Amino acid sequence: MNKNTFILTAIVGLMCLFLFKGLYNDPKKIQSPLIGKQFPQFKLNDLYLEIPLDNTSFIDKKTIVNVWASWCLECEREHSHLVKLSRNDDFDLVGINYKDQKDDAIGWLGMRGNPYRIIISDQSGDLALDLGVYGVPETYIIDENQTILFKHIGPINNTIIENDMMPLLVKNK
Amino acid sequence: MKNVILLLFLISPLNAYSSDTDNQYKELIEELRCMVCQNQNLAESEAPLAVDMKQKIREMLEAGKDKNEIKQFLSERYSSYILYEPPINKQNFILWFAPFIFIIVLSFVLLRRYIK
Repeated sequence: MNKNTFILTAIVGLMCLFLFKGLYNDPKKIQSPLIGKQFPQFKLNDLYLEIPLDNTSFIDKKTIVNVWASWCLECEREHSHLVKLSRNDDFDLVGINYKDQKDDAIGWLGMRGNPYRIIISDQSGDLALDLGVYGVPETYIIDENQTILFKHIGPINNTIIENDMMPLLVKNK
Repeated sequence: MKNVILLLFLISPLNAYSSDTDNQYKELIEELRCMVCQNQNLAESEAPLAVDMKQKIREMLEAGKDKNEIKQFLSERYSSYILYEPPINKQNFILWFAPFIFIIVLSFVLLRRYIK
């Protein structure tokens, strides 16, 4: 094989590999530019009590922030995982109710159980826009200083909880 | 009567509003991607999130923000994926310069063959 043929084969081979890999890329998975940044400032009401909540409503623990809505079918799939996570006292679990009706949201949780300590009611979607939310459900992990450590788009499952979330949540204990 | 109403519409200040802000708004929503329906821009999309974003863009323009500030605001939250024209940075280097690298390598190979 002469040198030029070899180079050409190598280039075409690499290109094939690159394009083939592209077939399996999920275009919905986009690294959030917010990782490492502060959780955005907000001032919104609690879903149940309608009292104002803001950044001081987070407690001094690692916190899972879950964006959900009663109209969101995928949220149903991950709900049992959230209920399970809520039994762990090592971290806090806060919900953001996204573009929902109050009654629908409360009814939905009434049937399935409420895993959240508090629920931020984001009817206008303003906080969600600041968080870069575009596919509910979305799950974030923030640390004690409200720095965003992790973001997942779509329902969470056992693999994600065990491999990605738990190491962040129970580290430095 | 109909004509009078029409005339009123034509001279109403609402029409005069179609100005600089409007043009900027139109340009922006052409250049930004709808994150839900990823092969549409905001202008074409009626997805709820796209409607919210358009609303936000309109508010920001009215608050005196310019196009670059709005693009930066959105790409800080939704990553540069939201821009139809990706910025030149380390991550996108290949994307922008691969064609030139390709041409240089190719001409080098061809030139060598030609000289031989």
